[in-house]
Amino acid sequence: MIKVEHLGKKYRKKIAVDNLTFEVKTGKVTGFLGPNGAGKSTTMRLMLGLDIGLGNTTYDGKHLHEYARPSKVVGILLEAKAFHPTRTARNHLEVLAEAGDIPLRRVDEVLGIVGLTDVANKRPGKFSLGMSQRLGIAAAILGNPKYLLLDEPANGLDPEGIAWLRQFIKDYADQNNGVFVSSHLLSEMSQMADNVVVIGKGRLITETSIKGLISGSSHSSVFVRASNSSQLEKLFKSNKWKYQKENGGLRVTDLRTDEIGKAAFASGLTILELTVSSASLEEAFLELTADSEEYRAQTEVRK
Amino acid sequence: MMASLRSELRKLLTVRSTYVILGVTFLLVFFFAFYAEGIRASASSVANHDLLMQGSEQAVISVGLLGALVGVLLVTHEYRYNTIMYTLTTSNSRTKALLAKLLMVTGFSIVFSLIVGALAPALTLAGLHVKGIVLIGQHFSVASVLWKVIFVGWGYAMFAFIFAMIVRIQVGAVSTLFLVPAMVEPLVGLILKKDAVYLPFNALQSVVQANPDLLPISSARAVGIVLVYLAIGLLVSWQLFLRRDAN
Repeated sequence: MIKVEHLGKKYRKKIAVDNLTFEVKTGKVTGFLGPNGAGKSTTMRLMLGLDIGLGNTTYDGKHLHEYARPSKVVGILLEAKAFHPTRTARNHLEVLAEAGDIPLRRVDEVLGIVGLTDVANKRPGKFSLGMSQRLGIAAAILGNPKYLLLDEPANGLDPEGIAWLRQFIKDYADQNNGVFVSSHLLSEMSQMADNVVVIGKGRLITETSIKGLISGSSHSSVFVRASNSSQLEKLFKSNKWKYQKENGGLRVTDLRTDEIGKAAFASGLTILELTVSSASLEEAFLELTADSEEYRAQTEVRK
Repeated sequence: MMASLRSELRKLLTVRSTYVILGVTFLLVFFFAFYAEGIRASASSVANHDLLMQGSEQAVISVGLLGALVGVLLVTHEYRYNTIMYTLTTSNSRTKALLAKLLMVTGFSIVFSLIVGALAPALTLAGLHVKGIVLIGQHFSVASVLWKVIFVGWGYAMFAFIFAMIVRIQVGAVSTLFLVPAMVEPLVGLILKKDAVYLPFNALQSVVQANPDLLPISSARAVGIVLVYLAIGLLVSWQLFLRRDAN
């Protein structure tokens, strides 16, 4: 498990990361969400010791610098174009393999995994963003590390690439590895992540499962319609349940279908419709981070 | 540590700039040693008992900055292309990462200086031979030339390394490397007058040959002055490397 405790970082007067504590579990994909400028990249850099700040990050109980070969512990993709443009893709990976004491044959393996074998001897300076991301992913998995820290890995990937990445990340986590991934593609995140850490203005907003995040949103609700709508309304009033009238029925946000069904049955009401409408991850995210957006467009987001 | 050193060597050998700089260096050495000092040798040169020895030392002074440039790029490329994050996360110690770079720059500068120091007199002899000029008997103290050539080449590389570690921005570090000896020291020298020999690049050049405009100092003293500057510079670079964000 990666244990992040009380991370903090200040740039002159601006607090970028403020007392951030969370965990990244093995066998799970943990999504890292936050609006632009929330401090996601800074947090990842602090976790790796790239930025100097406050707090502690341990990987299975030890700091990264306590491991003899850190590239076996954590693989990183923090920036797509982090390579010398005239050093071939293969040479770039061989430089990293040498540094991590990783056998050079692994370079060809990872080039194959990310689908860059054909361009292994090309200079990556003219690679598309998608190809650069693939090279970055190859670099991250080079040491077959237990943990992956990926910052926006889907940026620039085509739909096929995104689907491949999603499956790759899930499979990687399934092998008892931990994956910590930030992304702005919330639909992707909802399909990929098991847990999420949401931050805003450098502070932790929530650390929960994807299901927990969605069900906790006010956009998740239950719609109920009965044969006798006035009797249904009386039932809700008598139970002090908050509701809204809608299309001949009632909508509630903080009740489960079981409770409504049981109460209606006890009152002898015939239920004609009882449906759950779940919030999307995007709705849940926007609701959570509404007060934490650093940069906001003047036009309202249509929900 | 060995892993970091192997990685640094591969970094050095797998970028185009290393070969471009080496190519330019050898062209310059060829032009000055083979053509200017060989084929176009003046009568006074041919009668100089120290021609080959001075040629060897002068060559390293002349192109030492180019060799040092490779060291600058080994550091600044990391910041320019953000590969420093890999360097720091594959090593378990920033000090080790820095030491690996330092050793690689040291190794490169020694090899570079030895090649340039050997090539220059050989090319001059070849140029004279092509022209059919017979050179007067030569004094050539191999041991003296060897340590001076290596020290001057290494000194340039270390100053370059320090500038690169402190400035980190490629353009800034390269400019500093060329501006300090070419502009800053001559300007400061106007105030210091003969004491300008105590400035870092003046002291470095004084290891090989005394500047008649400056205070005469022995090679050993010049080495001492350079080492003091390098020790302070490396200490500052090391501390900054430990305390600053990766980029």
